[in-house]
This record gives sequence, structure tokens and C-alpha cells, in this order.
Amino acid sequence: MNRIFQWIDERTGLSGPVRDFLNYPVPKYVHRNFLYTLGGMTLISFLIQVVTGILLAFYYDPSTEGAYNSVDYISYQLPLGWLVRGLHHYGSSAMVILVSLHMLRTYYFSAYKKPRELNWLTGVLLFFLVLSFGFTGYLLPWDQKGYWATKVGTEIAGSVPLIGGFLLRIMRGGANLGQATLTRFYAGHILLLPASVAVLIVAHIFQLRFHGMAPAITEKAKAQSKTFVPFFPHWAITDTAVGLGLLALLVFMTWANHAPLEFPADPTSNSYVPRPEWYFLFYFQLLKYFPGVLEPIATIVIPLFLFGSMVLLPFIDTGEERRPWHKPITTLVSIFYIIVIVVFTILAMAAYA
Amino acid sequence: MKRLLLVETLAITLAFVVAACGAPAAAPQGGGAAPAAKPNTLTAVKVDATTLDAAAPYWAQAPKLDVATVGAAPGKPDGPTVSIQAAYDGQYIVIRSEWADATNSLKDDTWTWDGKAFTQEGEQDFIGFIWPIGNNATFASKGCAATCHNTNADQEKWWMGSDSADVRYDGWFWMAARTNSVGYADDISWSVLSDPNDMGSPRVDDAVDSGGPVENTNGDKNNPAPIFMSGKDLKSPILLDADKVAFDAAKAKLATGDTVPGFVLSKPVGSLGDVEASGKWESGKWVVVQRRLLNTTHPDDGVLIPSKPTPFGFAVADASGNLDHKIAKDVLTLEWK
Repeated sequence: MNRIFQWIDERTGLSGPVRDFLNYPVPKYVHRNFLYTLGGMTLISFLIQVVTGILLAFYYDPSTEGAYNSVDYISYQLPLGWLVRGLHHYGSSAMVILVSLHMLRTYYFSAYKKPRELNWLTGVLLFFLVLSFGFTGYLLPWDQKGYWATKVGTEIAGSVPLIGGFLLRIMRGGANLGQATLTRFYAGHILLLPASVAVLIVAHIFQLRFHGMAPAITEKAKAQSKTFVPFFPHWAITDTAVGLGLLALLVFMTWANHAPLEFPADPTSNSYVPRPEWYFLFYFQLLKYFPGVLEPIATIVIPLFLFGSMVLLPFIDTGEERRPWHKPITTLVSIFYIIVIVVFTILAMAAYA
Repeated sequence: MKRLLLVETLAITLAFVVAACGAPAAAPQGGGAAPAAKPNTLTAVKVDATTLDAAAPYWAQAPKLDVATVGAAPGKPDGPTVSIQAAYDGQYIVIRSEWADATNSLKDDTWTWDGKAFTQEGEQDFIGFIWPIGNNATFASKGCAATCHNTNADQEKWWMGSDSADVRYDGWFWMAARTNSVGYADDISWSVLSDPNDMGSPRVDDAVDSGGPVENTNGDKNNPAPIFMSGKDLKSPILLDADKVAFDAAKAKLATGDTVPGFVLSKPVGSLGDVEASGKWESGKWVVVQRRLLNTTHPDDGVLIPSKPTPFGFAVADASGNLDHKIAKDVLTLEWK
């Protein structure tokens, strides 16, 4: 075995970089803290999505005539197809939750501050790409839920002043939802988004390794911050153990409640009530408060403000203080947003129930 | 690390145990009120073995879906509320239907002697279920309305079926006289209007190897008459194939108003007889149980897959024939528990 590795190393020179990667020193307090596994968990959930997505692609038919039947076949007839699709379905929600928690930890630990601004920005982009995965993914079964949620979603984009019509046609591939829309969403979901996410993850990890872990914020962690252990096996094993827990949880959720598949899309239906995935519910609820001429406030002003404030955060909050309990403004702002999102989500769920 | 793995293992084991304990329990013995159903949703409960017994203990566990029916044709009064329940085992699904009907209508093109000649008349009670064969977006969102072609001003030209040979429907038609007497429901299918002059042409009986109803007529256009009568009970509205003897006016001794069944009945062998059925009319109420393999493997049948929600519709009629049948207004969905 050694001779094989040696043969490969002589030709690739990989052993050095791999050794450096595995031996990367991490502060001892990190690998025993669950909060520091959130990034790794997000990566693992992405890998689960990639593997299950590839398996699904072997059977998925990206045509308006065949998409539903192929997903139906995967869900109800293909051996273990229910499991693969369930892992993909619940994995997408796990990814949204994990990337959100990872961002919140970064936010509350002020890990976006100099010199880690670019790492924060790649994280913000990754967050929106993960949401884009969700948006493009749920059209693919071509069922009622995906069809009508996409219709509403693209109409929201279409209501943006000046460029709305252009955005709508770009997303749909025409005026109406059809084969062009499905092709675009499929290409985006399996090519553009994974490639973009992969590139940004590499950049994200490179930045992390370049700058090292952000300074600790608690006294206990600070006391341990001078003691280092190699990434492998310490942190890697922690991530693997928690990752296996995540996989087991997803398997359990799939087993207990198979991924839903609604009836096939009927564009002529006049009784279906469109509703998005749970992580977009708060936004649908928000839209209700801005009817008619006020709609652009919800479709353009608020999203731009949120995105802009996330992008500008490391350039606005430039102080030395990193402890959230000593930073009431940023802490209270985040708590306000969390409450709004939770309350709006509950209201929307109650309305759809 | 060991502690983390231990906690993780325990949590996973506990979760699966809790979920397994929450799985549907075996139906209790004895009666009791059936649980309420979700709106427009028929939830089939898993049982060890299905039967045609309308009083089987597991019906106490099966949610009862009450469906108000409306007249399919304009101007016709609403129909009865039909209570439906469903159960399934590894092989079969069984559906129990119950509705009020003041009369037990068993006439089915029955011959009536007017003292000089025979005339044919009479309609029977029926309940018919309709299922899409394969995935069908329009039926799933619009229900039976997707099959109903009723825009022609002439109601005689209305028909039921699909607009494409690729779109087919599976029907389980239980009829009080023609099928119930021999323990099955007609297994039929609908497709396109193959003959523009025959509004019944989309409706096709499933394949049959032998048996099935046979019209009891000599086929004479000028003076049609029955060719068989019962050798056991001349007054019976039902004529079983096993009981038939050649019609003999002398032996029949018919008085004005006496009747002879319009069909000779035997249970079909083949896809037409896929749906077993047992119906009983008592105290102004029909209780009908229909049972079929989840997958008959016949190409003219829909496949039911436990865990896969399936849209369906039904119609019920009180001695009124096809033009005045009562239907469920909304799309119904079969779910599995």
C-alpha cells in the first residue's frame, strides 16, 4: 500500500499539501464545541445533497411530460428510491438550518471582523445560493406544489420595478412556466449552483485556513486558545461523529415520514393554494402586508436592504469588541429579525393549515 | 468523544423505538365509533387481512369519510351522504360504503309482461368508483369533472371519458342486481370517444375469460322476449346462470305485471371480475364492501401503491341510471396509514 502511495506522491506531490491540511493546528477549545461543528455540518449536508442528487439524476427525467412520473417512480417503485429522495428532501432543509446557524454563530462571535471580511462575504453568498437550491429544486418534481410555488415566486421577481419583466422571462425562459422553465431550473440546480457553491466553499475554507479561527470570546476559551491540536484526527473525528448523527437523523426522518410528492402539476387548476417551502414562508407572509403599490417594498426594498446590510456588516461594525453581550445594537437587531422570521413563519403556517 | 458517540447511538435507537411504537396498532376487537376523517381524504388503515365482511372489527379503526353528493346533471336534486372507509393488507384494498336509500332497486332492463307482450324497463341502485390509470394531473385537480364531457346542448350527447387514448380511467361499478348477486363489481375502464355516435363507447368492460352478465333476450327486433327464466324461483328479480332454464310461457304462467330478469348472471373470470363485492340493503340503507388486489397486473387496471396518495371519485344512483347519478363534488384522495 505504501508503495502505491509513494508512486502517486512522486507523480503528484500531493502528500505535502494533504499532510498540511490534516495537521492544520486548531485551538483545543474548538474541536470540543458543538458550535464549531456547524460549518463542517453544512459541508457534510452539502455532500449528502451532492451524492443523493447524483443518484436521483440517474432516474430523473427533466421534461414536463416525464418529470412527475420519474419522481413518482423514484418515490414509490425504485428500491430505496424513497430513502434517497427523502435524504435529499430533508437534507435540503438541514442545509438551510445549518447554514443559518453557522452564520448566526459567526455573527454572534463577530467572526466577520477584520481580516475575515471576505470569509463572511463568501458565507453570505453561500447562504443565498443554498436558498436558491431550494427555490430551483422544488419545481423539479413538476407537482402542484412546485409548479404553483414557482409561478408565485417568479411573479414576485416579475413585480420588481423596471427589470421585473426581464427577470421573469430569464427565470421562466418565456412568459409562462413550461419546458424552458424546467430546463433552466434543472440546469441551475444541478450545474450552476453546485459549481458555484463548490468554488465558494473552497474559497471559504481557504480563507478559514489562511486567517485561522477567529479570536475566542469567552474567558474559558481564551484560556485554551494557546493550546493547539491537529485538525486530524481531533476536529475531523468530531465533525464525522456529528455528521453521522446528522445522517442518522435524516434517515430517521425519511423513514418516519417519506418525502412528500403532491399530485402532478395542473396549470389549469383554479383551486390550488400555492405555498412555498417552510423556509420561504416568512417571506410569503411578509408579502401579505404590502399589497398593490406597496409590493415593491417587500419585493425589492426589504430584500436589498437585508442583503446590503449583510454585505456591509463587516465594514460597519469595525470595533474591537466581539462579545455579543457587550454589543447591544447588533445583538438586538439580530434578535428582532429572528423573532420576525419565526413569528411570520408561524403565522403563514397557521394560514396554510 | 466516546461520550458523544454513546449519546448519539442512544438517541438514534430511542428515536427509532419511539417511531416504531407509534406505528399503526392492530385493530382492536369489538365495535366502537370510527375516527373522523380529514376533509375529502379517505385514509386506508393497515390490517392483517381484509375481508368482505362489512362488520369486520377493523372498521372501527378506519376513519369514516362522509361525502355529500350532488346531482351530476343540472336541475337534478342532491343525492345522499355516502360514508366511506378503507383498509388494506399486503395484497388487497377493501372499501366499505354506506348510504341511505329507501328502496332496494333490483330492476335491470327487466322484462315486464303486459298481458300481450314484453317490455323492458327498470334501473338498479349502484355505486361506482373511478381511479386514474397512471398519474393524471387534470383528474387529480378536478376529479370526475375531468372526465365529464357535458357541454353539448343535447344531454343525450354527453359522455364520460378522456380526450386522449393515453389517458384512461379505471372504474369499479357495483350494481345492486347485475353484479351484487354474484359477488363482484364490474371492473371497467374509460378512454376516448371511439364512436362519435355512441356516447357509451369510451366505457369498455375489462377483459373477460368467461362468465359475466348476458342479456336475456331472443334479439327479435319486432317482438323481443326473454329466452331464459329461473328454474328455481320464478318471482326472483335475479336470474343466475346456474338456475336458468329455457323460457317456457306455459310453465311461467305470467300474469300482467309479472317480470322476468333482463340478464343471466354469473361471476366473470378475468379482469372484469377483479373487484369482489358484497352489498346488503337493510332498513333503508345500503352497505357495500368492495375488495380488489392493490395491483392486479392487468393492463386495464390502475395500480394502488400503499404510501402513494391517489385521487379518486365516485358516483351513486338510486334506480336512476347514468343520466341522474349523484357525484362527490370535490376531488377525493385515498391516503394510507
